[in-house]
Amino acid sequence: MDRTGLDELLRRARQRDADALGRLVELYSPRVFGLVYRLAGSRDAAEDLLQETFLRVVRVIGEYEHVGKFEAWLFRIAANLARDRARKRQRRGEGGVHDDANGATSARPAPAVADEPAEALERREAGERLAAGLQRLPDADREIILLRHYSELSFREIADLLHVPLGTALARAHRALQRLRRELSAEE
Amino acid sequence: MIMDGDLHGLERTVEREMGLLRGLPDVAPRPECLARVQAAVRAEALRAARRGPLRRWVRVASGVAAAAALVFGWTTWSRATRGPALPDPEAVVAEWAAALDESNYCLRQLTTSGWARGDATRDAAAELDELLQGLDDSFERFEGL
Repeated sequence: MDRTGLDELLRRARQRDADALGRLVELYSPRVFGLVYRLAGSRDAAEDLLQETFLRVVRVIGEYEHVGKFEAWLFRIAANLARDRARKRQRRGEGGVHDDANGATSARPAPAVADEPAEALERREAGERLAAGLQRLPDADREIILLRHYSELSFREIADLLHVPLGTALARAHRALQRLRRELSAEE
Repeated sequence: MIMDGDLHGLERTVEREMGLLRGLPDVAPRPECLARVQAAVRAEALRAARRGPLRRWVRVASGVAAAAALVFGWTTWSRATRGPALPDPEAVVAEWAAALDESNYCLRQLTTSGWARGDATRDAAAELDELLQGLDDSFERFEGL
């Protein structure tokens, strides 16, 4: 969607136009879902977080000022909700449960298909290893690289969003990616 | 200390390394989840649209009530105390009105935004304490009047 189209959509959304808000859900839910799924580690939690994120958008969009990127505002809400949920789970002693975030589109990793071409099988397995490796990263490091991957914001915008210096954001991302790469090569 | 040039270099390196995540399997919400979110958002939009005028009315009414109470309190107090060392009444009123405004703002933020206002560094419990303290102070000033 071009800038003018988005401006108009957000203008209508600020007036609580249900169609405009529905369109925002349609446009952004795949990326928001990807982020919260990889942050929360389970499909059920991600679905709850997706709904909470967009409900929060409806409640506070009247106060949103469209001066920067809408993504920065939207993904900040999603990341904050995911972080709050993780904190609550930790307080209740439920931290570290990642039931299915190394799967692809289903609730559980898809079983191997007998006639799946070798190359596709290899790619799928590598993807699952990558997803599993992501779940083992420290939360703050994982959050930065996932925000970069799903929100498509620059590292500078992500650093602003998280209230950390750019150098810190980059250092965390660098460390996380190096660790991921090391783990993947060790498994091969 | 990292200099600007180093940062640019590091940013370029990290952007290159981000290519690793291209292998991450795609995930998408289930259609029934998406339908549920759409329905919830539409219902909330209708509720918010209905709540809008009511909230404005409550704000206006509470402002009028506060002003009336202030005038009553001020009249009673000024009749009761006629000493030479009175504080400047306009300053007292302005101070009290500012405190009330701030409390209103905090309360509105709390009821409409909850704690997800994008400020990841603030502690919710501390913010709530501040708000309650602000309200307490405000009522104390009002009693003083």
